Order: sequence, then structure tokens, then C-alpha cells
Amino acid sequence: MNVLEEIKEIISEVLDIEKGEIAEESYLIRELDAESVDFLEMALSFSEVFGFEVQDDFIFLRNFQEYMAEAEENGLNINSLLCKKYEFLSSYRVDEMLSDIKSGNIIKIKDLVSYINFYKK
Amino acid sequence: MKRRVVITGTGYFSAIGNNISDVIDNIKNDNINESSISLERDVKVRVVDAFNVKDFTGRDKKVKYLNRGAQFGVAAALKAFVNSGIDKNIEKAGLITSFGPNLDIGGEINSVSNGTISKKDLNALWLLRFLPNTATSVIASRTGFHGENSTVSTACASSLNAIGEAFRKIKDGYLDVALTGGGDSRVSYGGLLAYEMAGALSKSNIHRPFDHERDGFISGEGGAFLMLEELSHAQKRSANIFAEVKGFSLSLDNTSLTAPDPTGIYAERSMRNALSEANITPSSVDLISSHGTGTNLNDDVEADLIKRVYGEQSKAISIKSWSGHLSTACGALETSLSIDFMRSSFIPKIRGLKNPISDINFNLKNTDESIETVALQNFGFGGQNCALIIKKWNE
Repeated sequence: MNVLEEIKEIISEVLDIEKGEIAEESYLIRELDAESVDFLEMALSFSEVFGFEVQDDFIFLRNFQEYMAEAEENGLNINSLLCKKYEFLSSYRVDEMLSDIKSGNIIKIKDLVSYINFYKK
Repeated sequence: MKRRVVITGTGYFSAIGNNISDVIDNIKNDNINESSISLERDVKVRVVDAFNVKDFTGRDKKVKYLNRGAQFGVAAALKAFVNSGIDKNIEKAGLITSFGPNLDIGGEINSVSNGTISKKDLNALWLLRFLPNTATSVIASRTGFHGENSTVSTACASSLNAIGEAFRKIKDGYLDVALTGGGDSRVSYGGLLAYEMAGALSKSNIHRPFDHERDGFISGEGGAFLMLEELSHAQKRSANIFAEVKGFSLSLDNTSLTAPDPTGIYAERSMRNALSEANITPSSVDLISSHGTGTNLNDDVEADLIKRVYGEQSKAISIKSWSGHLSTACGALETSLSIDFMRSSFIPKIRGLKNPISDINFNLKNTDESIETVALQNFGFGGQNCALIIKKWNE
């Protein structure tokens, strides 16, 4: 199974939803209704399945807004600070997120895939 | 004006069936779902057939945090909720539940050695499967109840205790509606080992309460919930009223951690106080649903108690002789079944009873008989005594 399929499998189990309801472009919180307790379960299962310790703060972008504020306060470029903090995200994807953030939480399934692919040995 | 409290919904699961027609058929045909689990000997247990909690909850990510006993509780609560026809979002709707400890240590945890627990197959939040109030939260999320709540834990008195607390919350005006009951399963290696080492399980694998040959109980599993409601609230929505809760009382022995006080004086106090709250005499009780565990100590004390409070003529049953002992959930099952027995004019015999230890009127044959008032009693480890009086609704 590839990374996307493994992730879908885990998320369908944690959220008790059909695998078919989960797509690369699905929003994890906005559409699939995941909440912080679910992140704990997902991070634990990701770590087990992919064989390295998944940091739930990072994979679920828990500090995204704080980093935005930090860049603003210090007069830094928001995109480059976020790219430095979240090495697994492309600059293009970060821009996409910044333009989307007003509509709600930005994490999509494809971001989890990026994280796993980036750190997986 | 005094607020009256009625029962407008029930839902239950047990080894003798999950609805009254199955229960009565199974009692008449002596058909119990029994199997065995091997400790150092084979221990008979009474289990709920083909139970899948998701048949009642549908898909729900919270269900993975429910142990088997909690699953019975949640499923029973949802059944009682639907049965009552109550709407979600009633302002003064509460949950008074009862759940015990999860003793399925071996089933929950892959391995423990030298104090280290293997993390294999554990959820991140595995602790929720051990917390007694997890089921209460799941029930709340499914019913939309936001009012007063608690998860009562008084050993085998727990769920009768919870029903009584719910009764008081409504009677005293803190709630208009309360979903109350519990679920439990000690049908696991850990649960049975605990009871076996405590000497409570029948060595002969025969549960025969109040019999000279009795030697303990058979463990059962299941759950039961009831919807309690303030009378005018129920009448306003034209609810189907099954019974009224008339009286309730609790007491403490302050003696042993497991055995009942041999004189039974505090248990007697709880029974008499419940009668006096119900404002009835002992002779107007038609049926006593005994604790009836079939242990040497309980039955001696309890037979004496029944005779002292109700006299020789009083009719007594032991629902545990059929369902097995549901531990914390026994009182809710016994109350729910008592309501259904009243509504069906049926009184089950005490299964296995051949040589009674007392001359009180133990029911030795299944009978079709009208019953109006039932007194229920449960006595928990730790000397926690509970009594409840219910009356069939005829008004």
C-alpha cells in the first residue's frame, strides 16, 4: 500500500468513516470533523505503521497561526518562515494555505502524505 | 404540589433476552445463553447473544473507547431513549448512570511484565476504556442531554442506586427527565478470576439462590437503562407511562469490605425507609425482587430481612437466577424486567431453588399473576444497601 492509502486506512479507522469518504484534497477538520483527540490516535498509528516517531504538533500544523503572528511581529516574510518551520510543505502549498486560512482549518490529507514522505526513512 | 416520577422508557440486554417476549419465552422454556470460560476450572457464564454495539450506535468514533460493559450501557441507553420518545435538547434532562471498573485486564492490555505495559494495540487514549464515566459522555453526546449528571459507583448496588438518585433529582426539581441505568460485563478472564478468588462464584456452576445447596453465583453480563420523567412532563407529551417510582433509600453497614452485616439492621433500615417514602405498608408490596446472589452470606441475611420486613407471605424472586449476576448493572436490569413482568402479569420462578432455607414465599413456579407493586433491593460489596419501590401505572 502506498502512503496515501495507508493514511486513508488509518483515518477511516480512527474517525470510523468509510475510506471512500477520504480523498487527497479532503480537509481533515473542516470536512472530516477530526478533533484533537483524534490527532493523538492518528499520530500513534502513523508512527507504528511508518516506523518513525510522528510529531503531532508538526504533522497537524498545530502552531501554524502562532508562526504567522511571529513573522508579522518580527517583520519577516510569512511564507519563508512557515516553509522553514514546516520543511515538508512546498512554498506553493504554503501560499495556498495562507489564502485559504480565513475559511477555516487548512490541513488536507495531502499534507499528511507530504509529512510522511518527507521524514520516512 | 409534590412532584411525581414515572418511568416512560426502558431498554435492556441480558443472557435471557433483550425484550420481554423473548425473556418470558426463554424463562418458560428454561433457555439461557450459557457458555464457559476456563480458569483453573471451567466457569459457567451467562452471555448476551450476538451483541454488536454498532447495531445501536451506527458508526461512531467514540465507540472504540467503550469496554464491553460500557457498550451494553450505551446500547441500552439508546434503546430506552428511543423507547421513551423523548426529544433531544430538553432543558432539564440529565444522566444518572452507573458503571463499574473494567476488570478485563488481559483483554485490554497485550502484556504486562515487571511492571512494564506493552503498548502494542493500545489506543492513545486507552485510559478511557478504564474510566467509568466514559459511557456517560458517549450517551450524552448521542442524546443531547446537558443537565445534572453523575456516574454512581456503589458496587452491586450501583445501578439501583443510580435510579434512586435520578428519582430524587426529578422529585426535587433539579431535572424533569433523567436517563438512568448501567452496563457491565465481568465475563472475561480478569473479571472471573477476581470473583473466583473472592470465593463468590458457584463451584458447582449452578446458581440456586436461597437453596440449602447454594454455593455462589454465575456471572452474567448486559445492561439496562430507564427513562424517568416528572409526571406532568410525561402527560403533556402524551408519553406511554409504564410505572411510577414511589420510594428509595440507601444505607451503609460500616462492617466488612465484602460481607453484609450479619444482623442486616442497616439493610433493613434502607428497605423500611423506601417503604415509608412510598407511603405504603409492607403488605401492599406484591413482589420482592431480591438481591438473591446465591452466596452463603447474602442469602442468609437477605432471607431473614425479607421475613422481618415483609413477613412469610411475601412473594420473592431472584432475577439473577436467570440472568446471572450483572454486577453494577444488576439493579437496572432487575427494575426494567420487574416493570415488564408487571405489565405482562408474569412472575418467574427462582431458577434452581429446590430446598429453600426459609419459609418465606419464594416463587417456585412460573406464574401468571397480576402484580401492582414491586420492592427491589441490592446489596453491594462494602456494605452498600439500596432499596427501591415501583408501582405499575394504572391512572
